[in-house]
Amino acid sequence: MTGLRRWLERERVFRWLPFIPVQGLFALLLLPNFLLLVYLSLLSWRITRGTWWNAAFTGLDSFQRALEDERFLWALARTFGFAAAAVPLELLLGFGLALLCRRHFRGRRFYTTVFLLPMMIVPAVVGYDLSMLLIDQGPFNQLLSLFTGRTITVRWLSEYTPAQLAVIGADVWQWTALTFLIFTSGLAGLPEDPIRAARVMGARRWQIFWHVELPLLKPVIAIAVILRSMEALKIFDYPMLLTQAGPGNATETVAVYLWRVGWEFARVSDAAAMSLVLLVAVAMYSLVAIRVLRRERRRLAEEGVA
Amino acid sequence: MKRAFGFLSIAGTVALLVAGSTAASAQTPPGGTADVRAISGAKAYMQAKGLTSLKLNMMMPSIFTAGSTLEMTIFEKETGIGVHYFEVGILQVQAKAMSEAVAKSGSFDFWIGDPISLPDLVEAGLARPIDDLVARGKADLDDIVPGFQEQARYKGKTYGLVADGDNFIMVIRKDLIEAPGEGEKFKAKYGWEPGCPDTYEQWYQLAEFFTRDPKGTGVPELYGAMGYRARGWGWRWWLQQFYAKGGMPFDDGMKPLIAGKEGVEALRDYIALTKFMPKDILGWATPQAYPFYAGGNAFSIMTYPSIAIAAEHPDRSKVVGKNKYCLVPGYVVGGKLVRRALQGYGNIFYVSNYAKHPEAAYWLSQYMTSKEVSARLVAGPNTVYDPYRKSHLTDPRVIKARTKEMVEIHLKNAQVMAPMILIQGAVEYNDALDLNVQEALLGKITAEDALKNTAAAWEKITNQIGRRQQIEGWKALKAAYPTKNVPD
Amino acid sequence: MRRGRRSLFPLVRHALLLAWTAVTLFPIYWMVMTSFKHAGEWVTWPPRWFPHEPTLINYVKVLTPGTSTFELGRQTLKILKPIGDSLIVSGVGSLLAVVLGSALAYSWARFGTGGRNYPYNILSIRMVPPIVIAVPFVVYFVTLRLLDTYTGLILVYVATCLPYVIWMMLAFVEEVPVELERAARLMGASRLRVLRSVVLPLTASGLVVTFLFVFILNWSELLLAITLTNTEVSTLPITLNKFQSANEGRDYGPQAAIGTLATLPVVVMGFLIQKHLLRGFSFGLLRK
Repeated sequence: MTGLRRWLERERVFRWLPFIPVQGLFALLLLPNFLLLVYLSLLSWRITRGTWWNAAFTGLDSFQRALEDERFLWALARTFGFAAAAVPLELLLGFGLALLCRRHFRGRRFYTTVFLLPMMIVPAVVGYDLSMLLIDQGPFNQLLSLFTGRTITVRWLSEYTPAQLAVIGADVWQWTALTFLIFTSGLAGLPEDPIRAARVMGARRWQIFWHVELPLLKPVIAIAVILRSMEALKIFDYPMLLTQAGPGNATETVAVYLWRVGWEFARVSDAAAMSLVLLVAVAMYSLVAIRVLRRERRRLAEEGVA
Repeated sequence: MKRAFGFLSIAGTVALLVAGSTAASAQTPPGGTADVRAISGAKAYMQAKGLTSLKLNMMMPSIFTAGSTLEMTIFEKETGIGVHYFEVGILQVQAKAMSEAVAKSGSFDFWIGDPISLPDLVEAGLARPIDDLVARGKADLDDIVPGFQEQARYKGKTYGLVADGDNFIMVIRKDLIEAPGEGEKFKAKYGWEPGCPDTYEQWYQLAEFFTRDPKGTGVPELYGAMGYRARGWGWRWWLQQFYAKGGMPFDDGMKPLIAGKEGVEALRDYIALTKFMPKDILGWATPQAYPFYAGGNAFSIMTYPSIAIAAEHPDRSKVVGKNKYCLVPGYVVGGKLVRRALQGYGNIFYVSNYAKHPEAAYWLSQYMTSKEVSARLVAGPNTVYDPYRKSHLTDPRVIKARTKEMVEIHLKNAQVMAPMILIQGAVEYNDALDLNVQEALLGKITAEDALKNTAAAWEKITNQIGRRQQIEGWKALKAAYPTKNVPD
Repeated sequence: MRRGRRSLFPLVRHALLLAWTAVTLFPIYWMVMTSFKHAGEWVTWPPRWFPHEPTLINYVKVLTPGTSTFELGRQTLKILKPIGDSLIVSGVGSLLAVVLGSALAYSWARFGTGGRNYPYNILSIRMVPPIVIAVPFVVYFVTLRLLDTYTGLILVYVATCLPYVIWMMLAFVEEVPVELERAARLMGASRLRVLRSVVLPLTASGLVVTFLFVFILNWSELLLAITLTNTEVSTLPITLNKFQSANEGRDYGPQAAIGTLATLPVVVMGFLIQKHLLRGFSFGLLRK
């Protein structure tokens, strides 16, 4: 073995080698940013007020303004609302589809291929594609008219609630593919012994499902919930591209509003303070989710498979 | 002694030469017109820097590329200074400019922007004052209709070169009015001969009369009116009506005055007129509105003057020659008619303080805004540059592209042109207004509440920025408001 | 009776699956069809489900070099550079992330590097909405001269998708029986040899799946790309975003062409590794 290889073989080196660049990346890239963000939030700096390193320290003023800003609080509420509407739909649909595609049957390959497609499309493409479909004289309304027999001309993009439904719909359309994927993997990975045992004991199909399979799937459901809700809280593409956060601010999510405050209104400190409030809100939610995840993993490790 | 004299004479000659060369570079470059001067100035710059070719970086709103790139290529051929531009959506220019104000990276030397962002970008340190370069290059500022160039100035300094005169114009379909029987029917119903409306009430009547749904489908085949009602645009159309009512956004102490009687009435009229517009108008801006009007689907439209290009386009318009260009309507205030045309955008060439080649960027800007080149730009087939110079009124190319009537009316409208709110924090003021106007339009809140909310939001913004600063800025802006009630 | 029930279920299943297929395919179908329509056919009432006069002109418009063209009210942006930039940034970024992340996942699984809670801490990075870091990032990157560079954006993408890489690869690494590795070591193989001959083949499909997943994430990313680039780098979502404000042209045909082209590489990749995809997404939460 050459000297280099021998050095790599040492356990110390071998285990820490990947750790260093990764931690280095986080330390050099993400950490300073976060510190800068905190610092900016403690000023009352605007881009039009000189440089940030000369700006006066005003402590928690920006936070106070953020918490008093109705538009910000509404954007937060709206964002959580969107996630609360979209994610359960995606879970139910994904799970249902995964169940339907579980056993092998003719044409299954076709369906699974198709169902995975939306996930692969750039959300920006989804945005403008849907905007083309959803104009009041567009094909989507025509389809609806066909099905219901009446002329439907819902203005999906220029009325308050329809616009919100459109944004939620875009998210559901695109990301049901992911939940479908997760649940298909999950169902395929279910251990056979407990199921076989239950069947031997005479349990019926739905009983097996409800009492055996579903509990075994809890960790998978947890992961799907966590993944999707974490991402859903960040949505920026669909509101920006479909409706420009309109009409009014029907679809102004917190990401869009922060973009506006920081870059268009130039109130960087306010944006920084609001970002931190957002982070706290998301973190509270995510930490609960991560704790559930950790518990599931630990249970799996301890119990093994009965 | 002789040696000293010799030394002195050499020193003196050197000093003279140095003084002479700097004086030469500070002299006006040769050329009878602004564009020729720009070219020679640019060539001198290249020579002084010892370059044969140079690429400037430019941030360009997307809809400007078609019109501008041809002229820039010509400039490059003459001077060797070309442009490497990146496009931004027009409503994102502000965000990108602010980002650069923070980054100070010099990623673009110059850009095209609107007057709204000027105060903020000056305060942020991005916009470079160009009085020195304007004096050298003798840009034709006198030829510009007064009021436009004011908007490129801030606190007494010039920051940009105006390239576009965007005061609104009113267009109606004269063929529909002159159709047999229509005139009589209209007069019988409303009591006046249909034509260019003098007041908003008259416009309402015209719109009502000419909204046609013969088959009763609920989707009219002809819409009576069009204006912009979309997020980011709608507020400007309301502001124009508010001005015509005699309203001013602030008093001298920066207290908002929009929630008063004038504002509420203007907003109610604004909302009422919307029912004669296509239902999707809340999502439309220029790229949707123009083809719709040019397709013959509406009786009237109040919009940017570049509508003339779309409406008179020989290939793409179905209403060529059928348009009548009107003065903007107004309101009767204290017995007198007051017309106001809002300068609803107005593109300006700005130079960045962090530019690597500010002088070269300036020469290109002067070229693009010179009498000759601007006439070509304004008359171009795909342009969004609108007339803003007195010389445009008589330029045959401009007249051919837009019709003589239109250019005359447009420049008359410019006499009563009122600016948007161009003070620090303008984007934020406008956004608060726009949001509430749209909410009122959607029926979510009443007109009174919309304006009251806006006024409250405006107070907050003023306090945050600093009332004294804003009072100063507002005082300076008032000079840009028109003094006439109606054009001559 | 039982026979009746058994023969009814497949029909119901097909009906439901076909329903969702229609929902899924409808926008995609429409986009692809629009890309072959000329301007007169884009918005018609009633809408045309199939172009009456199919044409390739949209693709031509979009693929010829240049930045954009503009016809009255309509903007056509060109796509070669954005596709290239996206490929570079997403490809290199995802590759780097997969290499680093898998190595780290292995290291944690076998040695506990970083501590017991490391994967959970890492995952919390992912919960930060990008808008939160976008503003300071600009300031920071300018200082480092990384603004508007490929390197800068790649580094950001690596950092943001590493959490997913680590989590997914953890699952696959844990599926490799430790006994196999130990046996190989006992037989005298070096650690690197073990990696190459034992772990790698068994996690190959996992690597592929992970790569594709983060590739999709990075390929689609908009916010950080817009914030951190200007002229030099211009990824696909940025270009698409330029279309989309109410102010840019509704140039539906070329937009649809861009959309189709933007989607094609990812869809093809996804199709090829579909089998692996369906197996790989349980994040180590199930054991056979």
